[in-house]
Amino acid sequence: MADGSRILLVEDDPALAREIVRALERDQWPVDHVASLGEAFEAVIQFPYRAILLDRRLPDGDGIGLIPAAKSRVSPPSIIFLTARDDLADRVDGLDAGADDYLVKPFALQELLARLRAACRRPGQAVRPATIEVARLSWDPATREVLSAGRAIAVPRRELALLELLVRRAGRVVQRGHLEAELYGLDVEVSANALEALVSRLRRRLEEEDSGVELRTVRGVGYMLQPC
Amino acid sequence: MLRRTPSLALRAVLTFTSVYIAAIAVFLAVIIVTDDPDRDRNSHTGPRIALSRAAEDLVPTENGFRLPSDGGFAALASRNPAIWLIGQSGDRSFSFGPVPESVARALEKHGPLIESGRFYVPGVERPLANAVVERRRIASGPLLLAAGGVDPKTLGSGDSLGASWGEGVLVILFWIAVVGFAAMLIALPILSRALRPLAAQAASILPQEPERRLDEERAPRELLPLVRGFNAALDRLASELGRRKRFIADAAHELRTPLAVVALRVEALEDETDKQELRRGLGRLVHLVSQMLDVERLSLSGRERSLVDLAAIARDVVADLAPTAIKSGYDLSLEAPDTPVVVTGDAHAISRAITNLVGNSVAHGGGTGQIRVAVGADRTIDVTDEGPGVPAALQPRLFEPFSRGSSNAEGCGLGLHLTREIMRAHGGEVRLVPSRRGATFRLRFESPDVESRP
Repeated sequence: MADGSRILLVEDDPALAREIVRALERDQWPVDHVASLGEAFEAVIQFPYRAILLDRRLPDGDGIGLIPAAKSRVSPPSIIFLTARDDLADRVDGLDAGADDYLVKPFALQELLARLRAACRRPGQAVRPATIEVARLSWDPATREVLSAGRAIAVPRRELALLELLVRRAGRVVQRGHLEAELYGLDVEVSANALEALVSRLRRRLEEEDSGVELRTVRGVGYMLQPC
Repeated sequence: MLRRTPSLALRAVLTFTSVYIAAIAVFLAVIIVTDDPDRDRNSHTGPRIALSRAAEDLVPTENGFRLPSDGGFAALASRNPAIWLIGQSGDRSFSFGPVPESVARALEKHGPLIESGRFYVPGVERPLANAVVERRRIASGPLLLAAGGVDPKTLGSGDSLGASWGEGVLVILFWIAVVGFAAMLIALPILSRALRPLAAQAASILPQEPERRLDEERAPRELLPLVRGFNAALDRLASELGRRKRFIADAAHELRTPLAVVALRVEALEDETDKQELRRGLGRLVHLVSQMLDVERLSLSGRERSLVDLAAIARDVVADLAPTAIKSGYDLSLEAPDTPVVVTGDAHAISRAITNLVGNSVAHGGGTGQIRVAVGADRTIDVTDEGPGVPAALQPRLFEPFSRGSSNAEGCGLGLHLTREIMRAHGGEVRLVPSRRGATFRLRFESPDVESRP
């Protein structure tokens, strides 16, 4: 591994630390473990870590204290703090102090790995946003091209804008108010029935094109794009 | 009420009456001890009585006065052979009995100047015993009377100058007692009204606000010990309550690290079936722990409150839960007025209260049909499903912690309880609305102006 690819785990609970270290090693992350804030300071000064998993409640203080020292390095590591407290204030404290992300204990391994990957990727940025696929429908954010079962389909401008909004949040409800604001701006008067008409046109088109997705109405709230 | 409550008013009346009676008794005793019947019956009492009787009896005649033989003086004279009486009125005068010479002379010399008194003989310090002189006004005009020569031993019990002053005082005391008693009967209910603000304050202290106390500043001074005692008792209860809440929160909190350890170990397992089973069990444990923390956190009244729109909160909740509900086979919908439905509250907690109700419907709504969330302009939120409804046997304990519909349900039995605690903290309520089919839960919030207490 290249310099600066190591992960530092600061966690005082030996059992949890052991499991995290094992899990990370299984996933090919080189990891160092320290159990106190003092050791963490030394480690941070000596090595250029890629990311730090930081417990907040440590025997010699609040893990937040480490953040300024870590962030003062030339290439500062990403910091994900681990907390057993999921109070909003607690999370805000950590993020305000300069942490990049947080995980509330107990967390799923997948989540830990995903956040770690995201934290390590963040400064580099993805060059090109990935194509979004829902069932047989796929949408390329770069070209704004819509494919259904691999076949390009023509979607009128307004419907395409609506589809974009829905497909980006596929599987979740997009509220009417949000759609109206995005599609019609402040011209609320026009939108009263216009949105419904637009939705039913898009819905019909998606059915006709055999895209395998449906456009659900959640009455009183909004719309949701999901696989049939 | 079968058992009589000891009445403070009754005690006040009884105490007052007893003290009053005791005081009068002491007073009378003092009078009896000091009021020696012979005190006034000294050497000049007899003459004074004789003089009074004569003044009552005397009948003016053309050239003097006449004493009727049936009068009080005549009766006194019959017992006192030595009795004498002199009367002077202008140029008229008379005498009766053996008048001492010194008296006659003194009267002759000083008569017009005399108002009342005893006879002083020049050269003798003490007044002349057994003689009095007094100026009286009778029907015919001013009259100077002198009397003497009455033997005190001959005076009977009826021979007195009038009611003793003690008797008059007794009458006054009696009336004071009557008026005082009546005043007290009127005053006590008025006085007891002073307790009402305190009673109302005490009644308004809810379990969600253990920090509230009775106002010591405004308590009547006499009740201050009681009010302080009450407040001190509340202090002790509040600190114990706080300790317990902290304990539960800490316990739930401390469970998280070991749970995280187990979660990571489970992920490392090879056997996929085991993994699935353990994941599900672990998921329930994690859910339980976070619900326990939420019950402790969200049901506190100390949380920050602001004006929030129920319709907006409900819309976000429905949007968040729609994917899950749809995946479980339901249609989720929201009905809300176009205008905001404003209450004073904690948006996060209210959102949890609604989420738990919708979650409950998703779990027990029969897996089909509609789940309707309806926000009313009267600050109510109804969550209705089309499932089998809540079994009657379950209804009494529905909102108690760890009461669960069916043993195979995924919930931990804290969801509805948390909803109730949140509603209580908001001064509102949650209840199951009777309906023919399905289940309808209704949240009811207080109006924002009622909620804003000092």
